[in-house]
Amino acid sequence: MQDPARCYRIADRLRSGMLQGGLAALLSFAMVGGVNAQDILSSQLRGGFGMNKVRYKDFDWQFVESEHLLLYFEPEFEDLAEHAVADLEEAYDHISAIMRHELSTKPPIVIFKSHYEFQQTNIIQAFLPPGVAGFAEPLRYRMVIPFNGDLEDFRSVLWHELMHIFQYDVVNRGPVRRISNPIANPPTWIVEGMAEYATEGMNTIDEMVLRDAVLTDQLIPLEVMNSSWNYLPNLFLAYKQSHSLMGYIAANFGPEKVGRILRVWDQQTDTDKLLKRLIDMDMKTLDERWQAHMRKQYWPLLKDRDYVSELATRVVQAEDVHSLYASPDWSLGGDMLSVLSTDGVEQHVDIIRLSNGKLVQRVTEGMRTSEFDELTFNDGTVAWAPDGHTIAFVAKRGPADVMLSWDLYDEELTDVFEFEGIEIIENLDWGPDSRRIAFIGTGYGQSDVYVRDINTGALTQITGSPQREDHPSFSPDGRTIAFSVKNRGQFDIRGYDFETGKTRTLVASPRDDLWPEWLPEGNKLLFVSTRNGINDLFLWHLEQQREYRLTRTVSGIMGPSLSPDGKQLVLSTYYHSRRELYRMDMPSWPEIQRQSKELASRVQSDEKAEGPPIAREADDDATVVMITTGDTGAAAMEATTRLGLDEAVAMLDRKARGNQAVKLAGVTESAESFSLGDDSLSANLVGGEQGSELSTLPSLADEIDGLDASISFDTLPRRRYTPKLEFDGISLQMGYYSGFLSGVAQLSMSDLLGNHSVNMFTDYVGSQEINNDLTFAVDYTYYGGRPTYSVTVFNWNQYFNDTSGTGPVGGYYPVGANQLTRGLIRSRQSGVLADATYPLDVYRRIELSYSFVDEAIEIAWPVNQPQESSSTHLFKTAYVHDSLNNGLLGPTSGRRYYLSVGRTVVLTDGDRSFAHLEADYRHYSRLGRWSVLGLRAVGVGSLGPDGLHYNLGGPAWFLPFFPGYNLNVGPLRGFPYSEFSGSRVVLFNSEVRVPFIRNITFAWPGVFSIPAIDGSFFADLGGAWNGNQSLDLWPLQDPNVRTSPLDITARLHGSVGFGLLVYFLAPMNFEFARRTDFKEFSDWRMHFSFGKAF
Amino acid sequence: MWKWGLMAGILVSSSACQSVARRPSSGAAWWEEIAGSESTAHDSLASRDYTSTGTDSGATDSLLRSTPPQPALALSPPEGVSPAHPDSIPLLAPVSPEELRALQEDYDERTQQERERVKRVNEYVYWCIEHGMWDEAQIHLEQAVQIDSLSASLHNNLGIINERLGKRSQAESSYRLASRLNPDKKEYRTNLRRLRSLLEQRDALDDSVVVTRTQSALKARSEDESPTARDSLTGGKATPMQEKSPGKSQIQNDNAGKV
Repeated sequence: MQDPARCYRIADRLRSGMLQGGLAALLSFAMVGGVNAQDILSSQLRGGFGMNKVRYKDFDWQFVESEHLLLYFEPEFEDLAEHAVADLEEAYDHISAIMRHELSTKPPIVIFKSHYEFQQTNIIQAFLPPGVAGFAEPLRYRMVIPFNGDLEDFRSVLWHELMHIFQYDVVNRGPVRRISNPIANPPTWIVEGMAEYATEGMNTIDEMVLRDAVLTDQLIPLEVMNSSWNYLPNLFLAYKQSHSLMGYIAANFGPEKVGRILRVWDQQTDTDKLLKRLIDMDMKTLDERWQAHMRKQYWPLLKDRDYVSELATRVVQAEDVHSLYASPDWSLGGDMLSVLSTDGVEQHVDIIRLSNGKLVQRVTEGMRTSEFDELTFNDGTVAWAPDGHTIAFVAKRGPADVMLSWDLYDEELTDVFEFEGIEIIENLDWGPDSRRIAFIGTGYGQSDVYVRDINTGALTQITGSPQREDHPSFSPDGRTIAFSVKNRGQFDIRGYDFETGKTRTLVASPRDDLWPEWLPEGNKLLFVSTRNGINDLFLWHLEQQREYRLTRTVSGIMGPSLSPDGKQLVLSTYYHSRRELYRMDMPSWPEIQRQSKELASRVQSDEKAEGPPIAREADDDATVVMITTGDTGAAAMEATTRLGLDEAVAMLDRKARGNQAVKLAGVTESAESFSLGDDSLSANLVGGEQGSELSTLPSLADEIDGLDASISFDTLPRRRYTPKLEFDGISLQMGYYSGFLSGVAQLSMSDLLGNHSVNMFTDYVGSQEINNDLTFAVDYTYYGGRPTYSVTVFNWNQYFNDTSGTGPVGGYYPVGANQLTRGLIRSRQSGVLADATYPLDVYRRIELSYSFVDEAIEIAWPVNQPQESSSTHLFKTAYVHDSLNNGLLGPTSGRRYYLSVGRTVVLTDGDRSFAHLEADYRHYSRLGRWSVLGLRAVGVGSLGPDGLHYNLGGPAWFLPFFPGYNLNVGPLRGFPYSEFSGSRVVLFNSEVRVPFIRNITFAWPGVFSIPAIDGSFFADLGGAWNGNQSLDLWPLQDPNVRTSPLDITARLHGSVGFGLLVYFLAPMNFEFARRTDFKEFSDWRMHFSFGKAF
Repeated sequence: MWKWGLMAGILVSSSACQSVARRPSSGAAWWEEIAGSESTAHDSLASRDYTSTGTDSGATDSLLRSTPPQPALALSPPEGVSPAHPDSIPLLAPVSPEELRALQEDYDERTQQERERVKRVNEYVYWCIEHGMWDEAQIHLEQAVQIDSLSASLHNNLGIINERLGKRSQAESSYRLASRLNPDKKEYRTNLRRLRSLLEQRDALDDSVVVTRTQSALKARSEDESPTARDSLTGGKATPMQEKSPGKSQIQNDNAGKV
């Protein structure tokens, strides 16, 4: 199933990702307050958490320039690049005709040969989750697309994203290249609906989701989609609805309306007015008419189709749209199923009880981070071996998937299989002897069937063609493996014979034939076919050469899995916007025959309209198969060699270049078969048995036939990529306050692939009193390798009103504050910050940094008089671990911690001297489905005569417009913000967060959604003290007695309280706390803050 | 890797064993063959004192492991049935010195790892039973017995499961094998004696009970998909013994304290 988040909404994230440097963000923030050297040093020392975007590969980029685009690719998957250029040029013509628009510039399009390499792109700094199929950005029109193993899907994503580039060009009239002003965003349902409309039609899974929503009244109101797209719980459905809506507009008001829609739109126009102008209909009316249209389309299906629940028993039902149970496979005794499960927070391999769907064992409990980065949640990535005690599953570890083997007896991982050159592993299937396992591996820009011998470790490649293969299934005797293979846009089922090394077509129809499963007797294949556009179960009798229909469902069926005795099967279906698992008794043979007749007779006319399954001519398709439903119908089943000579040679060449160590099964025979001369080959293709075999070959040439013949990839100008810095965007702002004129410029540059990034921040300040003071920070970061390096040079001036006339010793306030000015103080900080970060894996990293900060404070007016100065040379190292699952309002599970050690070096008199130690540990345990217990312990010590001072007190982390934010160690609620200060701080936090509301939509004023409201109950305990004080741990400080920093003894402070956490545009916290020593309680104090909970 | 080769070699030579994986739901030929072909050899092992080294000496490798007092280890006979005296059941059979030596060597070959493996299989089976998955437990034990036929605990546990599933004859065979493999284990003999006592009652039952039993089973199937009811139906002919056997709740209660 295509992921709902196929198109990353980069436009929403660009500006947040633009200021990558910590200092730049700090300085930007400091525009409204003051930043001193402590803040800068502290930001270096306390780098913070976050997972790593690990750059595993050293990419080798080239690009070609075609008529309308630039395509960036690596030579190792040049075939894919050729497809991409042809597809994109075709898409350009198609979309250009729809939009009646030519792009103002050639968009640079970057393709990756797998999703895991795509995740390493630096064009966007955000982490790209597994479901993202590609993105396009408006600043420089870059499109970034990975190959997922299926050329059709790849093509579809290319078309989708190219439509976005056209949309940007129409709306923004060229690459945006600015980061300050809002980027124009038409409603997302329009943007995504158009992009989907530009691609080819829906597949059966898409239709399944839409049909279910219509039949179960789960459609998302258009008004809600229009206003709250980002918070929709079922984004996949929203995409499908948008697609369908756009199709409805095109069908009923003319296709030209789709092209006009963005021209009618402008930033000031709301969607109602836009639709009125476009189709003379408001949003509500359009929604009503479209829904009526959909009901008319789908409701008649109920007449002659069955709900799956009429045929089968529900095993387990997902609790909500966030939950999913997938890839079921049977235990040896048939009492249990292994499944992939997710509850929207975590993903696991679970063993559930067949009889009630309840969890009986969690195989992957606690494995994440120690054994793998993340579970691979793809089709069929869990398989229970026929030996009954081995479960194989797939996880990503480092740059590629690995296959893990879990032993139920030993309750431990027994093997981890890595396959060189194979990045994505899907669709596992064990051989009957449990000594071989078949899977679909994607690498080198294509997906193929592989078989691994568990004992010897030998890996055999069964197929080697560019088409997508899926769902391998061993026959009961282990001699044949059946699999689905895409041929000219649709899946057939083929079988590979291990003895002869030949492949023959087993099932072929004009629609997709998927998920083959052998019945135990070995002469029948159960499979899913998309006849009439709905996935249903069929059975193919290999000896009779005849198919039987088993179901005629409304919702459709996915991923059937037969029990070991062949008497039952589990299957997935989609119902009430949820994917559910059902158990069905496999009918006996007489019952199958009777049922097939009954189902066929139910809608004869429909079947006729579909066409009898199935007779295809040799000249129509490379696969020559005759299948009929008549009793006497015979099918021509051709044994085939698997590879064309050119294809085999080309592939071997590719493998050699990629140093792939696999055995290519049957290549010798294939090569021999093709050692005939051209004449012989031609003769064979015309007829004859051998010719039939040859003609069934899905050769590379066949695939390329579909390419645009007018484009010759080899003749396109090709160049090696060399980094060149270009503007991503620029922001200019002018300001005037209290006699000061300020010109702020932010500038961001990077190379096309984002490996080199430069950010610049300048603030030119002028007034009557001072002039020509330039504040700037320039940050360069290199992301091109696994370690990242960053250097920042800065000169930062700040001005303060001297209210006491005694210079910096007295009170001074930011310029513009309402205090009497007796002078003007200037704080100038300049220096260099150098950082290096090495990610050990996604979750762990080591940081090293050197910071030099020179700070001078002087009276700038009315006289120019130096007051204080100091320099700091600080070295720091830190170890960071972060494996949290994050929710909208805060972490939901996992843990994070860091250890940081820093030391200054005194080179000259006046240099600061201190050592820094910090440990921060946070653990989040789930209490039920959504509730979380968060625990945190942190200790900070800045030891030495010039140690930094950290603050304590107040809410979670961020009060708007409060300076010195980075010095506050954390929440100590019930106390004023940063009430306590000291060179040593300890803090303990505990908080239980419980969900109150999820996804509530308001209709007034206007339609808006609040995705989450949580309640919290917390207890905090902390204290700050200096080196000349001692800390008494118990009793706690009396909540009604104020302390003084001059006290010799410091005590810990405690508080308890509750809060309300609301996500509305951003996380907001309303917290109420009382100080306490667990004997006395103070009055309540309320805090308001932004940001996620700790 | 586990060194199952030797054990497997012994068993693979028996064609009867290879049919075990097919899990016949009725008829006893397959397991009777096993018992018949191996009983002599296993009997010979009984003369060895291997309780201190064998897998079966430990309490944790048996489904009976958690039963605290020894007298409660065996399944209780139904009311009115007196257990036979232990000495009245001949457990040992003569064996030639060559056979004894060969089997002793085989047994000595068993590594600690293999013994651990048997223990884990039993633990897994125990876990299955805890979750009420008797079919799952049965097939795992059958598979394990194919690989290691010298483990008394596997046979004993298979006997318990077969008895629970209403397969009394198979259960008797398994108990008998377990007792012969490890005659020092009182629980195995107790199980065998108790089951034999039950089987002796079968002859005393009236044929009319068959009809009653079938009707009861049909009713039970419609109301409760209990393994006993299902097996009695799918297995074909119901026996008088099944009718007289403890009911479902009785069996669960019996096992509740033992497994």
